[in-house]
Parts: sequence; C-alpha cells; structure tokens
Amino acid sequence: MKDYNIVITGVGGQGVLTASQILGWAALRAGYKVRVGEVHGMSQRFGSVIAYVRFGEDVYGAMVPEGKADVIMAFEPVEALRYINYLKEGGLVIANSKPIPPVQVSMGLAKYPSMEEIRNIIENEFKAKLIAFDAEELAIKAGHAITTNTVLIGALTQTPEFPLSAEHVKEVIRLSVPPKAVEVNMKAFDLGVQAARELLGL
Amino acid sequence: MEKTQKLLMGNEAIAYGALESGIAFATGYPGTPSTEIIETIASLDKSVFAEWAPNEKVALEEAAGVAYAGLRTLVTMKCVGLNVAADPLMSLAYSGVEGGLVILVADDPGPHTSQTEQDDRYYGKIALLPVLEPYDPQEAHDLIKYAFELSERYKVPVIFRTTTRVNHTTANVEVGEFLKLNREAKFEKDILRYVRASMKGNLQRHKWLNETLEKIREEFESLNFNWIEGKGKYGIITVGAPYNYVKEALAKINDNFKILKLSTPHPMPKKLVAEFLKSVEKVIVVEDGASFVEEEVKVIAQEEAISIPIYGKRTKHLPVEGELTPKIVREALLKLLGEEAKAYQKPREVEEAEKLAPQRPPTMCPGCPHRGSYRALLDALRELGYKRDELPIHGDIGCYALSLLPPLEAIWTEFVMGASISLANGQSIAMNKKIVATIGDSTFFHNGIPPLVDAVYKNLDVLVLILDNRTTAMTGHQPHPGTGQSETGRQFNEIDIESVVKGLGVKFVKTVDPYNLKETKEAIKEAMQFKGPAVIIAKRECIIPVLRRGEIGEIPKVVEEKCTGCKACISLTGCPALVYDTEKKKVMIDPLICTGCGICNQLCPFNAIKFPSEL
Repeated sequence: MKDYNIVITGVGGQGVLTASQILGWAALRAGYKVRVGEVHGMSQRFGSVIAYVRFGEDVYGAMVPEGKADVIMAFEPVEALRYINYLKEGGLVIANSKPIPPVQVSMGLAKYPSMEEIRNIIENEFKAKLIAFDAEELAIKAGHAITTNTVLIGALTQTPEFPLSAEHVKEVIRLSVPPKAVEVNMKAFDLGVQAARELLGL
Repeated sequence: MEKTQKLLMGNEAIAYGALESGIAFATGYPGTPSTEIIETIASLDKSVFAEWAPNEKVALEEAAGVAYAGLRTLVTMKCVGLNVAADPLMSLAYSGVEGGLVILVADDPGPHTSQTEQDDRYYGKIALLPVLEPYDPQEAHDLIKYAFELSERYKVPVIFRTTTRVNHTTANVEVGEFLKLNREAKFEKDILRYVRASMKGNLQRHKWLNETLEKIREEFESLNFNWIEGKGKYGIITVGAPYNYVKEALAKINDNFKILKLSTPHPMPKKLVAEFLKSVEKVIVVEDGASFVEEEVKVIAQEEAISIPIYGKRTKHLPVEGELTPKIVREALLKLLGEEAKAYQKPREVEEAEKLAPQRPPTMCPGCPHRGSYRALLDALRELGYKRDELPIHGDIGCYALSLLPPLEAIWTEFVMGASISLANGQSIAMNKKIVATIGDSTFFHNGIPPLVDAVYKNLDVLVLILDNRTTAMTGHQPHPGTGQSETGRQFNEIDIESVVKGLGVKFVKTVDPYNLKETKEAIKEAMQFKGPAVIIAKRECIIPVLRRGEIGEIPKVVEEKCTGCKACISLTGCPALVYDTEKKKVMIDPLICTGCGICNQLCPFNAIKFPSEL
C-alpha cells in the first residue's frame, strides 16, 4: 500500500492525541511504516486540535497534504468542517454529532451552524460521505464519556478501504488502556462498530 | 547490540538516544516543542539527574559544570530559551568541555507555540560551534548519539537543532540499550582554559575554537549523515524536516532531481557542497527557518567560483515566514522544472465550510484559577474608578496569556519571561502612576525576581500579581522551585514565594485565593492604593492536576426559575462549561466539564447558580 491518511480533529481535552497514538500503534503492529503528527502545548485548553496518522510505503513527513486524507475523524461536528480541505475527492467523514459550542458562540459573538447545514456542505457541496452519530451518548452508555474516542475508532474500522481489521485495532486498545478501563473501552468499541454498520447499511 | 522497534515521538527518540549515549545529567526549562525530552529521560532512568532548572541560563551553566567534570550531559530548551542562555553559550565555546555536552534547541517555524520564528542555527555561527539537525525521529535518535561523540572528541559543546515537525512527529524508531559510563567526576584546574579574565587565554581559546571548527568541517565532508541520492540535472540541497516533503514530492514528479541531504548546517562541508554544485545545472535549497543553509551554500559557490543559479528563500522560491509544507515544496520543485504548478485553488465548497465554522481559539479551562484572578483585577480597577482599558495590565508567558481573549481581554502585553514586571517598572517611571504586572509562579522564578528587586530598590509604584497555580501549567505541568517537587522523585525543597517577596523588602504582600472573588478584589484595591511596590499572590492549584486526582467536589446547577437568561455569567467569565440554551433562553451548566470552582456563582446578579448543598 502506498499510503493511507487519516486526519483526526476535535476540541482540546477530547482525546484526539490519544486516538492518534492508538491508530499509529495499530498500524505499527500491522507492520507498516508510520507517521503520526500533532502539535502539543495548547491542546488541552478547549481550542481546536488536529492530528495526522499516516501509514504505507510512500509516507515520509507527518503532515497529510491538503486534499489527500482518506478519512477525517471528527470528535465534534464543526471541527470536521474546519479541516475539510484535507479530505480527498470522494473521501469519508466520521463525526461525533454532539456539538461543543465555542465560548464565542455562547457569548453571542459567533453563530454555530445546524447539523443540516454541516451535512449539506459535506455531502452536497463537497460530495463526500458523512457518517455522523452521537458518539458521546454511546460512550456514556458504555460506561464513561471519556471513551468517545474509542467509539469513533470502532466506527472507523468499519469503513470501506480502512486497511486494518477491527479485531487488530481492538486488541491494540485492550493493550494500551489501563486494566480497569479495558471493559468499558471494549464495550465502547463495539458500540462504535455497531453504529457505523447501521449507518453504512452493512 | 540488541535493537527494538518502538513507536516514538521525536522527543522520546531523542531521550532514548541520549540514554544510549550514557548521559549522567539532563536539564533545561520547559518549552514547547522541547519539553517531553527531559520528561522521558526522567521516566525511563531515575539514576540520571534529569531535573528542571529555573531558567535556561542556569540550566546551561549547571550542565557546563557537569561537563567540565567529564560527565556527559544534555540541556534542552525551546528556540527563545537559547536567547536566555546565550551569555554562557559564548564563553562555554571558549572553555570547551571534557564530557560530551549537547544543547538541544527546538525551533518552531509556523509558529505553532512560540513568540518568534527565530532560527537558532545562527547561534552556531556567533558562538563558533557545530550545529546538527535531524529530519525525522529515527535520525534524531541516531544523530544525537553522534552529537555526544563529536562533542567529546573535539571537546566542544554541540548545538542540536530540531523543529516542531521533528519533535512532535511519532514514527517507527529502532532503539538500542542504555549505556552506563560510570565515570568519576573530576575537574582539573586550568586557568587559561576556564578563567575568562585572562585575555591571553581568551585569544588562545578563540584560535583553538576556530581550528577545532575547521577539523569538524573536515569530518563532516564524509559523514554518513550527509549523503547524495538520485541523479538528475537539477539539484536540491535539503536539511531537516523538509527532506520528507522533497521525498514525497519526488515520488510523484519525475527523476530530474538529485538530492544533497545534509545534517550539518554548521560548519558546512565545503568540498561536498562544491562538488554537488558542480554536478548540477541549478539548485534549490529547501530548509525550515531562515535562509541559513542557502547563505552558506552561496558563500561556498562564491569562494569556488561556481556560477549556477542557487534558489531558495532569498530568491523567493520558498517563503521566508511560516513553516514549509509538502504542498509548498512540491510547487517550488515544479516551478524549477519550468512546469507551472497547478496552483491549488481553494475550492468554493472549502471556503463555504470555513465560513460556516465558528472560530475556536484555546481558552482558560473550566475551573482555571486565572479566570478568578483577572476577573477580580478588572472589577477592582473598575470600582476604583478606572475606565475599561485606562490602566495598562502587563501579561507574561504562560496559560494566563489567554486572558487576552474575550470576554476578559485583560492583558496589554506578553513579551518575554519576567518582562511583565520590568515593563511595569519602566512605565511606572515614564507615566508616574501605578502600573499592574501579572506573572505566573514558574515565570516568576525564571526571570521575575531581578525586576522585582529593582522595583524595591527604586521604590517603583507597581502592583505585581503573582498567579501561583503551583506548577508550570502551559507546557504540561512540570515542577519548579515553588513546588519543591522533583521530576525523578528526588528530595527537593519548596521555596515559598511570599517569603522571597518579603525577603526582597516588599512592604505590601498579601496571599489570596483567586476562587474567592471578593477577597481577591479587595486585596487588589488595597494594593492599588499603596504607594510603592505591592505584591499579591493569588494561590490556587491548576485545575488539571486536581481533575487527574479526581478531587472534584460539588457541581453547581442553574436554578431555572431564577435564571433570566441575561448571560452575565458567560460574558463575565467566558467559561466553556456555561452554555446558553437558545430554546429555553436560559443558561445551563455542562456537568461533564464544570469543575465546581464557584466563580460563576459569585457573579450571577440573580443568585441563580447554586451548589446542590445550598438548595
């Protein structure tokens, strides 16, 4: 495989960097050349966050070039829109549909778009595929909101063309989370798998 | 030797490389993107003395002390950190070292998290020291091992320059076993070498340094970290992270290009570069930062009378500001081929998407004590009759600089470590009135004490608000002298800020809890009316470690009948946990992110925010 490019976006504190590390490790264990790119420093402070995960023979730098991402995995709907320029033609967006309005929106200084507006841009204007569901709700169902990233990773493994198997990724999560968090993460992963299969009609 | 492959961040790979080099000592001051190196060393091997220094100058001087005594040592800092450590750097070059000493400086083209985009490779030219630069985590790991050997062989400190894209890229890295040198520390008296009061010694050492640099240049001519690949008629000279973008672009363009990949920006291997220049029709220099390598290449071309065109940042083929990206490099290479790069046109739909997405700058966390400090400061000034933005409030380096954003919009300046106090001193002299400085605890220890000494000495009318959140928060919670904690679990002492301030002779000193708005506000009002230097210490631990320990108490609720939807709580605090429900026209508290700090409760004009125990 020449290269597979994932862009992960979200809000600082949501676990974007953890998700990128897990996917990077999964790719490494599958024998790929891997690059994970992230910028630290301000990522905890509720700002917009982006990370890149790339693997394959032709991968050198950590940055996914614009228009080359196979998939955007967004932890928050607006953060999918903000980085849509990275998506390739006919690419896929997996998004948590639960919004986190920026403070500027609560203060009335900016407007938060509706889910219909977001869907319209991604599907009709950008001709991309969108899988959006409330991943936080599923994470809470699994046992803790903090597993939202595991729900989304579960969903990602069901998308066509994703090069790693769901079982392989699940095993990596099992090995990388603290022992007491294994069960809730396994449940969260399965709920993500299930949600994606329903939305993809699998 | 056994080798294992790991998934490591560039900074972790550097830490492994340093431990495989047998370092005994590692220090520095936290600064993105360099911070994880010391943290990784401390977590992997507690026997190494890997601890933070109060600032980069102290760090480098302590490292010099260790290296004079023959032990291997690593110092880390971000780009601007070397400005602070520049004084010892120059003289350290003259004395040289016995044990290998590597100074890692993490430049931040972009910039992503830095005041300036400065290119610290120029320090190599000023100090007459070698500069090495890796392109990815594996090379960073391998090259830092070479850096220690080089330093020890020629007895000079080595500058190891990285950029954010190397520090914070995670990749497959092959690592080896840690090395234990078990050397006995021993310092030999040598006046001409170590006493800079000797002018004879200084002249002698300057000559020694220049000769050493020429020997190092000779070694770089055939170093395996410098190589030529490909065989086209056009040349690319590249160093650092942009080598990756060159490789990616060439995988998709054609084979007209020949690459000279360098890891030694200074001193430049002259023969290697000259031979390469002679073998191509034109060349482009691709590097992150300023046009450092491009200038060196042009000097060599002039000296060797090579007249091919040399392109780069000086010729505007690549941008001087910001970091290079795969796209920028690809377009520059296509241009060199005479092919008009299909300039990427931002599709209309991307513009639509960007327009629809509201901005999301980083903000103070829910429960951040700085929110209380700045709210109380602004309210105190208003109650004293100052109009909004009438009195300058100086900021400093740390999370609290986020107070520049709405709704607080408090600070007027954020300059360099410790400068909030010096700026206030200067303006108090210039404007003959009380000026306010706000500075964090770690920043206070870094460089805030000397300007406070001056404020006392000259009896300057300043209010210094020390925002003591018991950690170096911005860079990810490193200990500092005010915490008394150690990175490796050693027994250290806690230095009490209030005692320091009183010891300097400040007459008005008060410690308050910034979660208590009234107490903090009243103390500030009192201090503002005091003539001369006054210090208030707003002491409350950063909320993130508190959250990690799970020590969150009650979460308040909005009493719906009382909430009028006036949004005062939101517009006074800007706390992300407060969300306005547009349907109910009332404010709600997000229980998943609220930490129960109680600041909004104190500000609601209708008393509508209550803790469950109050209901």
